[in-house]
Amino acid sequence: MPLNPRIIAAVTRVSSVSEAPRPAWLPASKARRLDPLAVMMCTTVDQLGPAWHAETAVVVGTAWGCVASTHRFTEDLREHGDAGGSPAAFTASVHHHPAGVLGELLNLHGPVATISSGGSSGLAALRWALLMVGSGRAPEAMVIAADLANPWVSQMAAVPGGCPFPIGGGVCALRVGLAASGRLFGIGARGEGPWCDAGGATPAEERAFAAAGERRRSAAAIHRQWWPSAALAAVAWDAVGPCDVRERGGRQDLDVWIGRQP
Amino acid sequence: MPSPIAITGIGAICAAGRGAAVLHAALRAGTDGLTQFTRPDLPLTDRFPVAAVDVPLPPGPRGAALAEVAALEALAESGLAPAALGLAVGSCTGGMRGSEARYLTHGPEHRDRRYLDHPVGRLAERLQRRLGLGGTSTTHSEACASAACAIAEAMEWIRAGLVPAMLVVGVDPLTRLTLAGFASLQVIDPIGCRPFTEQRAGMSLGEGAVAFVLEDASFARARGARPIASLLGWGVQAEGHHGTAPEPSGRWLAKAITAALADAQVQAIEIGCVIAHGTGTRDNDACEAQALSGVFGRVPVSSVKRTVGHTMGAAAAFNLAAACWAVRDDHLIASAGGDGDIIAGLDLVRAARPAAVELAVATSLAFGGVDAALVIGKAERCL
Repeated sequence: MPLNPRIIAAVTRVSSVSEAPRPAWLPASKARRLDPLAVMMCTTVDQLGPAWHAETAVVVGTAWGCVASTHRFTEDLREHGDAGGSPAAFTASVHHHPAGVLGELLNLHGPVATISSGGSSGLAALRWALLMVGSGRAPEAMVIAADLANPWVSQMAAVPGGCPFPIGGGVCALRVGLAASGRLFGIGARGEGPWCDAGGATPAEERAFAAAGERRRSAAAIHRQWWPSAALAAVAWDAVGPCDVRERGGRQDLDVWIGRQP
Repeated sequence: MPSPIAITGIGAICAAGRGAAVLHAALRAGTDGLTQFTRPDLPLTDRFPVAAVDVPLPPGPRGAALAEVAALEALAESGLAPAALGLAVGSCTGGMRGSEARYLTHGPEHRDRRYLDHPVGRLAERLQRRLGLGGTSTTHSEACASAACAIAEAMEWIRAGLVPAMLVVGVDPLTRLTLAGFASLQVIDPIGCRPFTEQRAGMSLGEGAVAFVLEDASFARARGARPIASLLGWGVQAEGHHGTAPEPSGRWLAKAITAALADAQVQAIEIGCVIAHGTGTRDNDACEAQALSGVFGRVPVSSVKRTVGHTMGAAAAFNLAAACWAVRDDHLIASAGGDGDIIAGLDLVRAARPAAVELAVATSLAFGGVDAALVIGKAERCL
């Protein structure tokens, strides 16, 4: 019998780590040792509801990873020499650090992954979660597309040419499972309704989109800032209609269809 | 029952040299691949030995260059054209080697387009462009289990019919950040790693890449390919225990192994050897020994870390290669550095020797509490 996972819940939070209420399950003593990206993920996931199944798959998609901690550790080396790095900053610099934190704090023991495929990281994570839930490897999945800029990123991020918005950050978290209700989704575009992307297209591309009369929702235009894994943050989760979501990562375009709200 | 996946090409580059045959010979001989040297770009290597690659590389960021060498060899052995292949990469550091050097030399105000090579995902983009890979790609970054997770996803892509064949590469170069980071955690053995011995005092870092061509078994059969081994099952498990220390009882690693055995539809008693993560740290080896004895009882166990170092994101790919050769040749892989007292109850393979190995398991553990296991069988299972 084919299994058809659905998006049961979705929530987006845009870069305001300091203002976000910290969930009760994230103690302050723990939070201060985490990378800001991990804290932001925790505050976002908290809004997806309680009672996660212990076998839930955690799949994170992030292009930049925990760049604040990487920067902090590298600064330590610059200032204090090679023996002067902080172990806490080093462990928090690992891309997989936020997924590990979520597993630890929410007591999750299912399959786990962190995917870092540039601009297609969010949909690549969703694709892997879809495969795992669809093949019965996990009863549900927590899918998180997240990036958070710091001053260092401005040197290494390929800011799309002509993008009028500053580099920022945000998290879109989804709860994906086999519930009877929820939005069906699948790999590939279907051309129904608008299509969503991270934004940051060049002026020429924007003119081409407008000329083609395409119905497009760009996360950069909605949130007034750009980050690479933002396409899922452009989806109007409260709207009823279906849409296609597209991410570009280097040499690949990834498309996911998100169906009508039941 | 999921059909087996054929492994039709292996490529490698590591401290032992360039080429899968060189790696295989070093693993058979139990070569000590660690050296100590003084280099300004890797300053801590005068304090503890590492397994560094010392052969000419293609131009470009070091990680991408290592990956390219291994990938070209795997593609050549498989005989598959790259245009139709999907790509899965497992790596931790991406372009860190170059960006840390620029940052530490020039400071935070320095602007340089080569910083664009820093993100981990850029490695796959570069590999696709250099090799003409036409399919879709993914890059896993689950610390030292990255390659195992990339292999697991590649298996599911093939099983789901998304692609008939995949190139999978596990790769990581030595970087100043990782050397300084593991040194700050005080988990590096100053005289070199001694996996699974009572005297073990930490890991030894290494660098390199291993690449595999994986194919749907029927696809491989139809084109007359000659598989090296079969990839039968995977298990990846979150420990949910601690950011850096494995859960001491090994129960979550045991669960990952059990999941991989179930996926492969084989029994623990059928496993002829285990290529373990075996880093040589107090915590890792104790946890792993517990898990292995719990699942298998007594089984021959090898660690490749003294020969190739702990290659971080590539580590699971090195283990998979060793497991493939063990089942292909019915020959156990040596664990260099295992001259001390062995952890009680563990059957550590000190010298390579012939043995019937119908099936093997390769394990890995990682920061963030990731445990992974792969099950490998003889090529005949694909025929």
